[in-house]
Amino acid sequence: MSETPLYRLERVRRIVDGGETILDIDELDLPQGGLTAIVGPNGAGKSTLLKILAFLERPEQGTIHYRGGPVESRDLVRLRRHVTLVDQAPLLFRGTVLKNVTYGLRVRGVPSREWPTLVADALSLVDLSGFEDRSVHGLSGGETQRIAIARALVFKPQVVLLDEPTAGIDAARKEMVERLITELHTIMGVTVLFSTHSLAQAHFLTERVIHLAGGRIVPHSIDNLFSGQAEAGLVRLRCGTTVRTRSKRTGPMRFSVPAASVEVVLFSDRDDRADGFDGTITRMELRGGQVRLVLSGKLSLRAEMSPEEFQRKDLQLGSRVTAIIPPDAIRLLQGEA
Amino acid sequence: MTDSGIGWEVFEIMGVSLRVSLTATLLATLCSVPAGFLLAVSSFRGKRTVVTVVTTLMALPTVVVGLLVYILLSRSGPLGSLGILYTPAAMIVGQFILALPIITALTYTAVSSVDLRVRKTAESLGASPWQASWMVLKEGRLGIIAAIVAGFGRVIAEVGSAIMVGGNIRGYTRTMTTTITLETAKGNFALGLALGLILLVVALSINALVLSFLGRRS
Repeated sequence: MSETPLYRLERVRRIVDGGETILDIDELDLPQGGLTAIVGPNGAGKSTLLKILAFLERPEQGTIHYRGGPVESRDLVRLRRHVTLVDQAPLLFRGTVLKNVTYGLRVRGVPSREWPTLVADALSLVDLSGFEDRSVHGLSGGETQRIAIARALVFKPQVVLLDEPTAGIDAARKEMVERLITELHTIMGVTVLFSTHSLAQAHFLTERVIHLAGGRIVPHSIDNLFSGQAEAGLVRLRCGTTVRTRSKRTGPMRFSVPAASVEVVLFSDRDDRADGFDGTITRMELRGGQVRLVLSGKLSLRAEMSPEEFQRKDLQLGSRVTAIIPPDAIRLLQGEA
Repeated sequence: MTDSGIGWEVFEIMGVSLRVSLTATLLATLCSVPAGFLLAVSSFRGKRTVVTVVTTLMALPTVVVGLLVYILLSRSGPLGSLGILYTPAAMIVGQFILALPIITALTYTAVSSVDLRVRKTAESLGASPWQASWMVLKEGRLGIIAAIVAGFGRVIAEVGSAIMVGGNIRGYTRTMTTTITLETAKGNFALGLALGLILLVVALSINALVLSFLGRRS
């Protein structure tokens, strides 16, 4: 018998004023103790999904099960104490860092004698030890983000939801937050869900990636992404391709593929196991020491490679080829076509 | 007011003024802050009309309030049996009515200007609806305290209602403002001005106290 998922969403729809559906999920199971990334462009429904999972918003339709039981309105306050959500642009309350970090402890009635240890541990996790008495007004954007994370972790929640936790912070701090996400999951056993724009970051941190576009969960496979009713158009970029698609399954989408990430092989040499699509080399030029190709087929794509690689693969104008795009090279730009 | 008794009597008048105005402000605060808060956080049909009415009532003339309270409390009025006309209690009722819309409207503005994310953030950290509301109030506290100070400023300086329902009875319902009116009517302009200055100093001291408290807290 399979283990009961932590969350089970069934036919969940969030409809805003004006009748627009901003989230439409047929079925979604999230395992206990898992690390899940939610990837999608702006407006994909990532934040809405996280708010629903944090019990801060209720969907207009559908059911949510938490630990096997259906979530009712009267349960929300109790369930919120198991889960915490850190916003993309977190708000800190007026006053000191200490006042902020202890807030979750205060509302849970944790005795104040336990606060100093818990606060010190939480601040240490985000590399901000000794910040207790700082006023929140003097904090940088990155520090604000990390204090918000410490504030959410101090009461040891069972589920941590992070809405674009690395947006707007520098590379070094980004690495720290990524490390923290991994540690929360692997060492502390916390169920973690985070949203991101970056497919690469999502795949780097976890194998469990949910793709959202236009409020719907879209297929992971590149093959699926390009298949079905897709009508694709090509917008040429200097170093890649922006593809616009509209399919019955995914709705309108726009994503980009950097030219250097596209692997081009002769159709006869293709590996059937790889996701890819077929086309013909319709244009080629040598520029900046690199060979640039335009591949035309169901979609038009730009690819780029070194002259040595081009020769080794025996490619020519008019060659029938297969273009293979690694999943982490695709960057969803937005849900609008 | 005689020259010989002025020192002691001024203190007595100041005491009546402060007692009446502080009590009226306190009572109005207890009603207006929750009312202003609820008005700001709730949404209902006709909310805009209610806000407009409350804001308009901020300009309620003190003599109109005095007249209404007089009609209510006079022997033949609906509350005449209470027998509180021409007492400090009647003055408190009048000043309470005057402070009510000011503190309500300004609390509404203060709470409305609190970032909407405050409630959501508090809830996401496990706060109950009451705890989240308290956090919203705390985040808007500067504006709310300013609303209470404005309400107090309005009632300590009013004369119309105090004189109509208090009766300006020496040693009982005579306040700073009613004394100024009386002394001016008698032609004692210098004394009226001096009392006016004392009133300003009293108001200034109370505001300075509040601001120093706010400064320490924020």
